[in-house]
Amino acid sequence: MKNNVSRRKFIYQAACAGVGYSTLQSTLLNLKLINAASILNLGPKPPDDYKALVCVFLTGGADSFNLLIPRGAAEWGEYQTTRSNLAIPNESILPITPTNYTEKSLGVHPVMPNVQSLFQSGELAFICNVGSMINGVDKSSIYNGTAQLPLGLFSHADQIMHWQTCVPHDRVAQGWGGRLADMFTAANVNQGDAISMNISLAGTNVFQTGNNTIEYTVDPIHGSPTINGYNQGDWQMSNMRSQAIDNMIDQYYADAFKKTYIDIIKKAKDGGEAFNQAIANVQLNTYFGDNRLSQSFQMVAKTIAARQALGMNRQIFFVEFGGWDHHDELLLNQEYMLSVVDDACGEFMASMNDMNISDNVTTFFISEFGRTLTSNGNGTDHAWGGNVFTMGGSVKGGRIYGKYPSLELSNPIEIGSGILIPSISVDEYYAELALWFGVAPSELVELFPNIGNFYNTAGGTPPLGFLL
Amino acid sequence: MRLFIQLLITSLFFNPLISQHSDYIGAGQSNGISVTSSSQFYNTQAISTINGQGMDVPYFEASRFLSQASIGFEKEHIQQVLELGYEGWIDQQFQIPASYLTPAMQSIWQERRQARIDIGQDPNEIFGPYALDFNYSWWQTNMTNNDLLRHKIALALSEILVISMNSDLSGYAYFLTDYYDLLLEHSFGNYRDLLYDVTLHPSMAYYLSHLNNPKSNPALNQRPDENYAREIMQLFTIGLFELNEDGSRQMQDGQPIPTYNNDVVSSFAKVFTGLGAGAINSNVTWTNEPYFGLSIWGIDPTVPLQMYENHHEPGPKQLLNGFTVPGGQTGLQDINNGIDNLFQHPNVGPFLAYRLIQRLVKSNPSPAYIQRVSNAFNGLTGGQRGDMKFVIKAILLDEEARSGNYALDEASSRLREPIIRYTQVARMIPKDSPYGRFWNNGYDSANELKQHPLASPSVFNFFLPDHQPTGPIANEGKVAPEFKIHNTTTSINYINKVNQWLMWWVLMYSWEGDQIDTPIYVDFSPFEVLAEHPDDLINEYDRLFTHGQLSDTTRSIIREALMGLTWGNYQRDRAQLGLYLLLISPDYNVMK
Repeated sequence: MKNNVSRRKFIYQAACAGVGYSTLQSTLLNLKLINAASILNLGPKPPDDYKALVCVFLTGGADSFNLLIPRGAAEWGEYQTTRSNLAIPNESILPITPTNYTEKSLGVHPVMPNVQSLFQSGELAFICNVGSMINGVDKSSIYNGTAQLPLGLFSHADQIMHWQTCVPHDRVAQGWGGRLADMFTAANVNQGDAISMNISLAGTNVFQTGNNTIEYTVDPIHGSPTINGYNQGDWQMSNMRSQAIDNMIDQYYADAFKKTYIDIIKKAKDGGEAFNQAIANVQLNTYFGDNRLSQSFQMVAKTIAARQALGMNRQIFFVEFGGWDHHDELLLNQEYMLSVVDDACGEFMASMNDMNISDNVTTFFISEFGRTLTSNGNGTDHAWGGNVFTMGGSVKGGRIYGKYPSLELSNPIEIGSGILIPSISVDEYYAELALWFGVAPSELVELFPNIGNFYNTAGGTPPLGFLL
Repeated sequence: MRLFIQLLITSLFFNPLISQHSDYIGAGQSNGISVTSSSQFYNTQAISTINGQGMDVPYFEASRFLSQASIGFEKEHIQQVLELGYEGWIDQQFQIPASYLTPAMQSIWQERRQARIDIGQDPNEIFGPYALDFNYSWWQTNMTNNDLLRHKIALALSEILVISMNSDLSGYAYFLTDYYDLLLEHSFGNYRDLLYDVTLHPSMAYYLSHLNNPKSNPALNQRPDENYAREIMQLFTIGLFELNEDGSRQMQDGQPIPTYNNDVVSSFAKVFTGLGAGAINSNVTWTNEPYFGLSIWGIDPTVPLQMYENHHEPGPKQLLNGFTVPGGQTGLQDINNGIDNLFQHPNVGPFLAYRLIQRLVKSNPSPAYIQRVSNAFNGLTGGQRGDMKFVIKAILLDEEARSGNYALDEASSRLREPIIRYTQVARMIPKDSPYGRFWNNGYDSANELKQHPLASPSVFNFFLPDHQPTGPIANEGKVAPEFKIHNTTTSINYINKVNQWLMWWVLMYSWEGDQIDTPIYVDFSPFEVLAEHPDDLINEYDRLFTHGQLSDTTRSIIREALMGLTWGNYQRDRAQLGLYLLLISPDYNVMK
């Protein structure tokens, strides 16, 4: 229960780390603000030096072994035996032909033709059996209790946190996207400061929260709301109202709760005007569907189109699509929800290509855990490793990264009910994205304190190699 | 000097209806008068003595108490608290029969059907009753009831034992109202009974998928669904780590101690197998008997689930703290054993104490406060273990909830939940509602403020208890759950909702269009008569909405704005703008 911390402890932490309550080692928190620019590999600036990361969180724990599916006779048989009534029929799986992987024939869920074609055209890649880990563990160390495991393994709330913080040995309030923005903001990478570098289409989230960074939330459909009746007409009511709101916002509040309440309103009010102005004239040429995920992607596309008006060279977006906790009715729900994802992927990539910016925008999909390979009747339960995918013009797509695991029960990485020990850490997946975004290899540890357990940051090769 | 001032105040301010005097001393009109303080409660400045706040302290305290003990209240309830005292009022609330949502929903649904019949339409073509009817009945009840405390506790419980209309439950109003009624029924009961009944409730069983959860089938690699097993432990009873009675974590070698591992989850999953429909509803025409596998479409949610023994996992099950459910029992015996195993775990007291204190009083209770409430849960202050009446009294009567010193303390802060910001003003403010229909659609709150009862995005509620927003709150090591839904969109949406309620007068509205007259408009007339002297008006608002906690800074900002309104019907304008500014101010939104 984290509620009270002694004054002394607070002062100590604040002094050594620049932030309060947590037991993080100070290296992670010490962002070297003074010399921040030196930690980034920004290189010479092309005319439009722009990069954006788009994080898409499939909240609930997507059953990704029904997303990327084995389809060769032998491996599909293994899949079918383990998954029993939840197996997708072999003939309906959409085949893909990875250029770097032939060990198993693979395919994607029948409702994902866009993902299939983006993979085939080299714009989308899969990374197999990824999960949150502190360090590499094996079955015996798990069974004999010596393995160091993420706190609250298999719990939604904890795994949602760990996939965003990359501090799975602790519970912290800052995410790696927030720490990344802290670095870049300190280096003054963006000229504009009306809105945060981190834009959320899904409200406050851990991923985008830094020590100094707070996300700017926009509504997927309505964008940025402004205060009704504020500065609307020169008449007493409008003038008095506007003045009073300004006065209220400009006060200093000693109470941390009051200050936080007002600070958000201030950011919203200042940012809302700038944001709406910037996107007011944006016209996208491509179609987006009217579901929330497509609308979220459309708002991301509009914001990217308005990057110059907003003065942005680096942006991090957060999009969420929840409801993947399919303990029940897995097949039915997946069929609909994966088709929504598939549409959105196609729409967003079409838009990025149309804007000629797809090389500069990398989208990555995550979910807090994979699900049990075995069935609980008509659904699956919380597990660990799962498959993820990433797309964009800079992605070395059409390839499979990592090894598609055996789905046979009692295989060396299976620890009961079809729960798989991850073969790749989320840290490796993310480190690749951070390097592409411009973080120096030596500074990866600031974002991912456990990265050294999986990857030699001084080795000169990227962790997985899926980005150009 | 003090004697003189007290006499003066007695004559001027004894009657809480400030509007009866025509001039005001203080608040800018105190030149030449020198006084000492009459109150230590919120404001030690002497000005509180002459502007009347000093004498209003009991009224402020009662108003503040009700902001903790209710979702919303009216002036008459403040008088009740003043007359009965806190404990007396709580005892009286314990006696008031529950105002349940299901009967209210049925009658609203009937009216909605009748309205269609009246215009010659087929009433069977209206969809429902569904989540909209739940929302209508929730507002109808909470705008008219007198069992304020019970509804406050039920709302708090609905944010702990979470089900949500963000699921197929949205299509079934009875599933929503009957579940809420279950929370109401047990709000003053025993937490053990609540846990058992929640476990067997079709709505929870649907939401966390232990409805029609069969036993293992090794031939098909199938094993029981673990969803409910995991969440009843993590979210409803014991949490992830062993706790001390004061809510702090027990530590071993510097590490917290997990309460359970995946084997325990699997065992509890086996306990919760075999539950299926207890009764069919009128959709089912091919049989009179409920059966295992029947979906919510055919289930009567007012009847608890029943055990289908041949679908229940046989054999012993190893649960927590060395307890094993013996083999050969009935399924419901297994479930009773499982519920007892959880309920008797020492974590439940501090676990529940922390969450309920956060919903009622403050975000960061001291360990000692948590411990005192844990003690009450554990039966140390009387009653059986789990008796909610003792828990509620321990929370609301604690010095940390009641003492004025804590109202001065920054550590006592709590961001009001958006839904409470709404209900508190909606209940207090006089309303023009000729038909008495408080059919609020609720969806606009859910969409714009990201909160409405039973509309959480997941079983993890609208926010988690340990959320820390970036900035001074996190830096001070504090938590502030409600800030999870206070962002650059919702914060402005809230201001615009206040604009709708007060500047456009539309406090709530239904989706019935012209068919049924439902809009509820605000009636400012009792406040307009105070508006000649803005401080009279501001004081009244402070008494009713900010419980005497309005800061001098905010007061002067509002005063300045109101003084600037001098044209036309400026009394009405002042009443509107004054409350608008108060409701968007940090003083209203941050409670102490």
